[in-house]
Parts: sequence; C-alpha cells; structure tokens
Amino acid sequence: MPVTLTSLDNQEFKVDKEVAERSILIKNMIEDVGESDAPIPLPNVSAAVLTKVIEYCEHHRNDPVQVQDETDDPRKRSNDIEEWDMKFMQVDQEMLFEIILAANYLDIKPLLDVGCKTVANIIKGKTPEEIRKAFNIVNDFTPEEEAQIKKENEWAEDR
Amino acid sequence: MVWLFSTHHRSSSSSTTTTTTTTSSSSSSKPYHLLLLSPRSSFSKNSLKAKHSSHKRTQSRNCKNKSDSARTSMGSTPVVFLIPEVLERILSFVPSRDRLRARLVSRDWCRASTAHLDFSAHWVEHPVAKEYSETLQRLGVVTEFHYRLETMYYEEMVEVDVPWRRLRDRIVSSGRVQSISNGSGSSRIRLFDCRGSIHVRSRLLPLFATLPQLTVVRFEGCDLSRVTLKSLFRTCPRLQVLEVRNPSERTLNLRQKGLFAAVSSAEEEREGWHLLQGRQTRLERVVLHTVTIHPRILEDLILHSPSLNELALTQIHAPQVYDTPMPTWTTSTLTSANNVPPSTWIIDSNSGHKDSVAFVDLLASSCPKLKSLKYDATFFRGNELTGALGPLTQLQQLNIPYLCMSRVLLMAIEPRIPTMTRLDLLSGVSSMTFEMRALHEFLCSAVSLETLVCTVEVFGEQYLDLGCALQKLEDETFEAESGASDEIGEGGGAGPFISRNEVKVWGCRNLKEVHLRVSPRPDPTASLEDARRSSRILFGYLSKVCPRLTKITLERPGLDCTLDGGLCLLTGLPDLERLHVRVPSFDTLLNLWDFSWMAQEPTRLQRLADMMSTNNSRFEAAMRAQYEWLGIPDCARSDPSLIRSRLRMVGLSSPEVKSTIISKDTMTMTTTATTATAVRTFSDLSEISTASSHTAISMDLSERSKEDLTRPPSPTLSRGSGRRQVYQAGAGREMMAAIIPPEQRWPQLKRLLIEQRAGDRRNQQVIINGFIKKFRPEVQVFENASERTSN
Repeated sequence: MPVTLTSLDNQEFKVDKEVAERSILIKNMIEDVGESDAPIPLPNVSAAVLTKVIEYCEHHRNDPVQVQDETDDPRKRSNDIEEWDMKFMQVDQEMLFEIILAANYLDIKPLLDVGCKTVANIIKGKTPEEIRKAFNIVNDFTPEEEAQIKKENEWAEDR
Repeated sequence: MVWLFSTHHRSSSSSTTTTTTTTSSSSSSKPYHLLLLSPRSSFSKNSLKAKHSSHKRTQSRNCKNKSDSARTSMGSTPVVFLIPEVLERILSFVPSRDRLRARLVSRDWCRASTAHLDFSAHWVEHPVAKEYSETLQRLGVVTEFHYRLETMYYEEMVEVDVPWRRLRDRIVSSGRVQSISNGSGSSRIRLFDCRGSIHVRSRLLPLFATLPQLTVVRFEGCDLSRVTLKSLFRTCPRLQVLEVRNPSERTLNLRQKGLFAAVSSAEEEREGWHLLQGRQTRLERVVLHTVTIHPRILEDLILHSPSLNELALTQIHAPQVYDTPMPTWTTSTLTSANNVPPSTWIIDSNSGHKDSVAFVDLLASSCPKLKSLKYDATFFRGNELTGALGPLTQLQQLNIPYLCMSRVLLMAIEPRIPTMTRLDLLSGVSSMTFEMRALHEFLCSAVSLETLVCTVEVFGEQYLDLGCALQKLEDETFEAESGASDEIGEGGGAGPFISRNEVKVWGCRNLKEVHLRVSPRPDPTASLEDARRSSRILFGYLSKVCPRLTKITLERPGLDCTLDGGLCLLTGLPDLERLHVRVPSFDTLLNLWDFSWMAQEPTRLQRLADMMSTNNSRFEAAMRAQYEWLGIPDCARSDPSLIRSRLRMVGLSSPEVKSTIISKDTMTMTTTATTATAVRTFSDLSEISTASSHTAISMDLSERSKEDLTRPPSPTLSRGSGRRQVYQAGAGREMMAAIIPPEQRWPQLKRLLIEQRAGDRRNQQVIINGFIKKFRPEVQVFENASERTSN
C-alpha cells in the first residue's frame, strides 16, 4: 500500500509503506493512526532532501531492522561504510548536513549513522583550526581553558 | 475517536517523554497533525532558533570577559553541530586521537568529544603514594582510577594517611567544581581498579562514596569481607560491574584467602545472610576468580541481580569452617526460592555435583537476561547442565568444561546455537570421542560464532580432513545415479554409508578469534610427512572455512611451520592481525627461507634468491595444497569441477572458479628435463558464502577464459613421481599471482610469534624473531616470556 509524504515545499511523494516505514517516526505514526489516505506532512524536510532519503530507503528496503542494543558501546562502533552508501553520500556538504538532520528527525538510524560516519571521515586527521575553518565554528575558549584542555589531552595520551 | 501519539522528546540537557492526544471525526482520512514533533528531538526549527539565539547571547556575554573570543559570528555554523546528540554521534565514529584534537575546537565540541574518551590516573602506594601531586591535578577529568598498593599492612603508618586524605579531599572538591569537559559538576570517575592488599573498608569505601558515576569496580588481591561487600553495595547503588580476582590459590596468604570469610553458624544466626537486604542491584557483570565465598552470599547476589548478563565464576571455593554440618539444597527448592531465605548450599564440596546443577538452575530462574556464563565446576555432565541451561534463552557466550559437550547439551541449546558468539572449553578428563563429535557439530551450526577458545587434550582434527568421506560420498552418489544399487549405501562395497551430515564444515564464517591448545599424548609412530600433512590440513581448513579470522593462537605438538607445513596457507586470511603458533614437542629447524614468503615487498635480490632456489616451488606446492582437507592435495592438477563440487558438498560455493592454462610459448625456466609443457593452474578463487551468514569473500584473482576449463590437465605431472615440476618463468609468476598476490600477505598483521618448543637450547626463538623482523619489520614479535604473558 502506498503512503503519501508531503515535504516542506508541499511536494507529494508516493512511496511503498515498507519503504516509508524505514523511518521509525513514520512507522509509529502509521501504527497509531491506522489505515488512512491522508498525506503525511514532513515540514522539516525539503523535497530535494526527501528525494534522497527515499532513495536510501528504497535501496535498503530489505535490510533487517536494527534493534537498539542496550549495551551498544559507542567506543566499539565500526567506521565502515558500504560502497553504495559511500556513493550515495557523495553530495555537497550542505546536502550532507540536511540528510543527517532529516535522518535524525525521521528517526532512520542507519542513514543517520552513514551521515555521521561521512562527517567523521571529513574530521579525521584535521587540526582543530582546520575543523573550525571547514565548518565555520567559533573558537569560544579562553586561552587558559585552551591550555587546560591541551594539558588534559597530554594526560590522555600518557595512558 | 482518540489517537494517541507518543514521541520521545530528548532535549539536550535531559530526557523527557512527550505524550500528546488528539481527536478526529474522520476515519477514512485521518490527519497527521503531530508530525511537527521531532522524535529524537532536539531538532525543530523553532527550538534550534531559540538555541541559536541563546548561544549567541551566551557568547556575547562570554566575550566581555575574554580577550579574543569574538573572532567570527555564529551565523554560518552548520545546524547539525548545534545538536549535542548528533555531534556526539559524529564524534563517536572518529578515532580517539582525532577526538582528542576535536576537544580543542569549541566548548560544545569539547563536551561532545569528552563523552567518549577515557582518561586514567594511577595512584601507587609504596606504602607512601608516589608522585601523587600530578595525579591529584588530573582528577577533574579522570574516568578510570587505578589504585595500587605494593606493600602490605600499612594502616599504622601515619605518613601514608596524608596523601590519601588529600586524594579524598580532591575527589570531593573536583566533583564540586564544574569544568569545561565536566559539565555535570560531579567527578567523572566511572571505573575504580584496586590492586594489592588494600583495606577496602577504610581506604576505598570513603572514596567510593564521593563518586556518583562509579559503575565499574575491580579488586585484585584486596581485603574484602562480607561486611565490606555489604557496605560496597550500600555505597555504590549504581554499580554495574564487579570483578574480584586473586592470584592463584597457592600464592594467596591467609588474609587474602579469607575473602568473604567463613563465619560460624552462631554469627550466621545473628547477622543473617542477606548481603543486599532485599535491595536489587544493577549489576550486569560479575567476575569472581580464585575467591573463597560463602554460597549464600553468592546466592543472595544472584537473586538480587536481575540485570545480570555476564557471570564468570572460576576457582570458587566455599569456606571450610563450620560449627555444624551443612545440609545440602535440592534443585526444586532452589528454583522456587526467589523470595524464600536460602538455606545452606555448597558449590564445591562432596555434594558439589548436585549443587552445581542447582546453582545453574538458580541462575536460570533469577537472571533471565544472562548472555554469558563462565563456570568451571568440574562436576557437570552435559545432560545435567542441559535442563539448567534451557531457560537461559539469551545465552550467547558459554564457557564450560570440555566434558560438558554432549549431544544432549546441543539438543538443549539448539535454538540458541546459531546466535552464540563465543565458546570457551576447558580441558577435563573425559572419554573424548563424544565431546569431540559434539564440539564439531556445535561448530557446524554456530553461524554467528566469533570467538572459539579450546584448551583441550584432543581436538577432533579428523573432522577437518574430509577427503576420504567426500570420496566415499561421491562414489555412493555415482553408484546411486548409475543404478548400481537400488538403495544408497547398500551393496556399494565402499564401506559404511556416509551421510551428508558427516561432511559438514564449520558454519562460523565470521569467526574472528580462535585459540586452540591441544595436548595429546605424543604418537611415536607419526612420521614427518604425517605432521606436515596434518599441519597443511589445519591451516588450509582455517583459511578457507573461517576467512575473517583476525587472531589465531595455535598450540599443538607436531605443528609444522616450515614451507612444507603450509603456514603460508594462512595468507588467505586478509584480516589477520595476530598469529601465535606454539609447537611444544617438535624440533624442526626453521630457516630463513621458511619466512621469505612473508615479505610484503620483496627486494630484487630476495626474488632472485627465491627463484634460484627451491623456495618458490616449495611455497607454490604448499599453496596448491590449500584444498588438501577436501582430499585434493594439489589443486593445480585437479579438475576444477571436482573442487567446485566438493566445495558445494561441504556447503561452500565457488561460482567463479576458473582455471588457467599456461601457454607453451612462454619462456621455460626449469632445472630438470621433462616433457611437460603445460601446467594447469587452479586459481582459487572462490566466492565462499553460505546462505545463512551471507558472508562472502571474493578472491577471484584470475581472468582467464572459460574455454580453458575444457582442456584436460597434463597427465605427465604427478606428485611424488620423482620428476621436478616445470614452470615457465612467466607462468610461474602468473600462477603465484593467481594463487596469492603479494599485497595480500597479511596487510593487517601486527603481532607474530612462532615458538618451536619449551627447551630452546639452540636459542632458536631469537633467530626466528630475527627472520620475522627481516621480512616484516613493522610486525611486533614477542621478545620474552613475560611479554607474551602480558599480551
């Protein structure tokens, strides 16, 4: 059964229910409302981003649903990205961030992870100054704080 | 009509749940009004705007006090970095070195990065704490604290107390001061590791009381008592991990041995046995090793730890001092005793066998979430363990004595075998045959197994050598198909009927670690060639059946690490990081050329030396024996369809198997006269996969046409015919590249150790390490025994 999704700019997308249900948010909505023809408004996602999200969900429609493991240790997370996902994420930085936001909003954990891994790969190997420059981040430390953090980092490397 | 929308709204600072109710009269087109709510929440345009503006206000407020903080505006900072959860998630995928650097980007980044970083501090009393001022400085950021005492009985010394009091005061004060990376305003210490004969009650408990985030406590050789343990749970109600380890029993002194000391029945009457006094713990992991603990205390602990998912009990002893003889407890009373004060029960005594089973029963009824069980009670029989393990539906890791392995056990845990991730087997006196068979069957079914540890006397290596069984099966199939006999297996004249179940291989394609220590009695009748063959079978089997192995420890008498023994077959494991081969009773001299194949980028001189000598041909011969375990000693001269069919028979598939015929016109480089003109090379190159695990490894290295498959192999070449094999220079290189390309030789390898035997009179270990260093300078070798032990 197709489901209609409406983007921020009022474009409508018809997708299979099982594709739409890759989003936990939409899945919960459909379960709560039951059978309904009404379009599902997604006012935080633009049409361009929604197109990409649907493309991802279409490709991964048959993947097993990830079960949230209580003992999921962030220290043990893998940084591998599948080949298709890597190509899928070859977009400009703005679109990449939009996809991450949309995945966070729609609660599509695998897509969120792929987006976060892609950004993590950008961060990898960069100095703090390079990171700030790459993402327009303001350095809001006082010199004393910065010195303190540098010292703490040395302790961590001592381990 | 009412619809209930429930979304989990987690703000950046705290986690709350928002539940909203709406009504609608229409049933056919129910509107979705509430999608403006974000599920994970911190994201909604308005909330972000609010966050953004408040951030700006904070920044401008901060700017007044800072010298150079007003460098750029916040206008273009991507929104994604303003959501703490998303930023934390992004940084969780960054390597720890980069995460450390990321702490210097901004305050938000510092907090998000620190969440996944561990800082440790060491406090060493000797008996006076050494260099403690630096440790005290670090306390604001420390997550792991290691407290070590190197001398004993120090309580009376006054100078010991001064640094300790400073430590306590600093922990308390560091908890009160809110730092950049410590946004919560409490001490970040979550792990406390204590070693030595520290008086826990007077020294450690006062510290624990000031650590609200403490969840992991480890004691090694510390003075613990039942009363202390009681206080520990009262002081640290959030405790999730408790580990108590002691040195081997022989080295324990009287004081340490009295952990959870035995008490008289009079004391028992007076104080009762309720360690937790009815309170539930949050314990998820309990490890007790070489501990004397009263069964009732352990029992109380288990009964009140419903979240327990890992339990390891090794060398547990019950106290020996009692005023009155202890009655034993039966299984039936145990299982129904959740709310009943337990009576006496002994783990390790004359009636231990029965009570061990009762103990597992208790576990099953009290800890339904248990995923990992390690229990070395030697009283078990497989069928007795069976009933007890039945209710543990989430069990994934099992560590039991080898003799528990039986078909009955397999039947009991059958539904869980495909999801089990770890199996540890300890040696025990047994009849071997049943256990070996059961272990093999387990491994054939355990498709999710990632770690296998076997410290056993005899490992069922005969189940790895499938050549004879496959041959018989083929003969029977042929006879059945050709109508030679009406029923398969009857009248074939080829011996007993072989079922397909007998030619199964391990199902654990994702096996990452294997630790195999076998100690059979030496067989004086075994020849050198037998040893080499069994080595090639083991190495070939592991490389083909478990292609994801990263850590291998093999200890077995007679294992041959020379070129002829086929250690090089393990090069089929691209992810291998660590290899330790120990041969306790075999004295084959290893030479430089036995390691030359390990070189990632051999020099021209090395290549020339290998070509001029027999090194290349011996290496190639070993590589061509990669399917010897399938009864194909030389895959270069076997029909590829035979290999394909045998792989299929054992549940492995090789859809892209190709062969290469090397043309006659390539330049011949040989040292002996022979008429052979063509060498058929089989490049393995199989895509191994199983339907269950969906794991595939593509190793297709050859790109020759399928027409070549139709040509028959050269009949003139046969192994052991006395003739030297002939390879063309171009062909040899091509074949080598086809079998295993140079860049595939353990690119991930970090540690390698090959030990020949315990009594190393010729100092061969140093020589072997030198060989390894020569060809793989980046690989760490173990220089001495202590290093090996620590690693």
